[in-house]
This record gives sequence, C-alpha cells and structure tokens, in this order.
Amino acid sequence: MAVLLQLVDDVVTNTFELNSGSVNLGRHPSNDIQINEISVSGEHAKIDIETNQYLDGVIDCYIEDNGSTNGTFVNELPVKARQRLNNNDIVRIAWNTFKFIDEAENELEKTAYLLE
Amino acid sequence: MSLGVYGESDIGFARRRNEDSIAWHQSSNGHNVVAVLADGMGGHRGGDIASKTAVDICIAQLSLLVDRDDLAVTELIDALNKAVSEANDHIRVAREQDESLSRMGTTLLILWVLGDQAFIANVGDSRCYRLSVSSAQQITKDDTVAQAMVDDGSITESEVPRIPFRNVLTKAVGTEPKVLADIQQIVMSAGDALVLCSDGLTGAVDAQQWPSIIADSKSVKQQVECLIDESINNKANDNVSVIMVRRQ
Repeated sequence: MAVLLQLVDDVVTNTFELNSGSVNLGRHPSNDIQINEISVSGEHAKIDIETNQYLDGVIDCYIEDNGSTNGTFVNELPVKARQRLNNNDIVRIAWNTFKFIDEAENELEKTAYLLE
Repeated sequence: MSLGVYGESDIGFARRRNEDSIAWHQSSNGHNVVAVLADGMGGHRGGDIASKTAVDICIAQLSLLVDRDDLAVTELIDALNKAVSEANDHIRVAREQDESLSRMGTTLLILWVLGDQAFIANVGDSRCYRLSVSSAQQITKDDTVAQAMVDDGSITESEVPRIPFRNVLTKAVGTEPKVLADIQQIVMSAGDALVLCSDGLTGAVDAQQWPSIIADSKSVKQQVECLIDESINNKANDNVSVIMVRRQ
C-alpha cells in the first residue's frame, strides 16, 4: 500500500494511507488530509489512486494541483498537470513536505522482465 | 547505391554476461541488407540463448532472400512474420525442455533494406532510429507498460524515465504462443543512416547526442565504435549493442 509521510525537519509527524479512490488535501476541514497551515489553500490538491491496467498488484497514484495559491511540487518541480507519483518522491504542498512511499514499486526497479 | 553496415555488441559496464545478440547479412551487390538485433532476458540464465536463437533463425531464413532485388513487399512482410514466428516457436520449445530456461525471452528487431526501402519489424524495447546530421528520430515504438501508459494518456513521455516499471515489456519473443511484430516501411534516401540498438545504448547516451558523437568519424564502423565507447564512458549499466546501416 502507498503512504504519504508528512515530514517536519525530516522527521515523520504523520502517516496517511492512500487506499483507493481520491484523497483531497487542503486547509479546509472537509479534506481527507487536512493541513491546517496558512500557506495551504482550502482545497489545495488531490491524489487519485487507481489500479494499473497492465500490471497486477500495482497501483498508480496521480497528484493534481487544484489551482492553489502557493502551488504543489514533486521533487521541487511544480505540478502543472496530473502526474504519477513514484516511490520516494518528495511532495510539497505549499510549504509542507511529504514523502510518497510505495514499497511495491521497489520490486519493479529491476532490469527488464516479461509480462506473462 | 550501396549500403555501409557494421555492428558491435558489448557487455557494458555492469553486467556479467552479454545477453544481446546481433548479426547482419548483405546482398552480393551491396544494395540490400538484413540486420537483426535481440536483447534477451530470463532471470538467472537463458537471455543469451533466447537472443542468439532469435537472431540465428532470422538470419538463416532472411539471408536466403536478401539477394532478390525483385522481392514483392507482401513476400518480404510474409518472410518477416514467418521468421519472427519461428523464433518464437524455437524459444518456447527450449523453455519447455529445460526448467532453468523457462522464463527466457527476447526483444527482436529486424531491419531489411531493399533498395531505397527499409522495413523494420519490432517486438519489445530495442529501438530503430533514423540519424540525420543534427537529430535522431525514433522510428519504432517500445512494447512496454510505460509506453502503453503514455499512449492511453495516463502519463506523459517526460515521466517515463522515472516510472519504476519502465522496463517491463508488454510483448516479447518466446513468452506467448503467438507473437506479431509491428512492421513499418520507410524510405531510405542517400546519406540516411538507420541505427538499431539495445536499451543499453539509449540508457547510457541520449539519442540526441549521437549525431555530434559520430560527426568526426568517417566510416560506419568508426561511428558504431564511437557510440559504444561513449556508452562505456558513461558506465552503461546494461549490455550495449548497435548496428548501423548507412546509404552511401
């Protein structure tokens, strides 16, 4: 299962599981992951969790910025369109830092193999 | 117009075995060429056997036809399909006979130049590029999960290098009872060069750098050696194979 770890000074302060469907992130209490910090927009970003069509057991998590004021970043690059999150990506929601972990992906970081 | 052709396969910087295979056959008048490149895979062993089997079968079958300047396109495409199918069957038989080879398979890339026409048959993620003085244009499309996700709009081309399963193939020779290659036909003009390569080259040297890397080399042999040398300098983490066919 994929998780989003909230980091403060490189220390994990919260762990959010990304199970299925859509996870909304923002300052408003209605969000699945509420980040109560002034730089974060009310409805800041969204992560869609989808089953990969081609690989059994693989899920794809796609992050999208909802037109936030201070931006969403993956590895310090601004998220301009919906993009896939990969294991160990650093996600920044305005000034709040998270690490995306998908342990299942470690097994796939190998040489070519065949889809049978 | 005659063709210059040369190829090399190198174990690369990090691998213990070379699982790539290459071969080519040129017609006696120098106008036609069949070139074959395969990148095998199979866990602990078998990759080298799979790629060599595929290359040997294709060369054995297609070299019989390469002298025929009057070959119809339909005959040529039938021959390509038959060679790919036979390679698939042979690898599958070997998989069934030896448990340790049961997961082997291979990519397979065939270039057949007949006069000014080039036919490219592809299964897997080995690639064919057309080189100009200033650019390298990818002709083939990878049979990979990552490419399928690009095609269905899930990700963009720029995301592919970061996808953890970017090397997972959706199609290979030897893994399914039947396999059908994607076949393309392109025109090859005077001065055109086509490069067949395994992913060891593309992983180590960006294709857009190739024209400048080979710019100072005159012969096809020297140009291929330059590309291989550059990949080794860049510590290629996979086997590196290159065949270049240039219309003089």
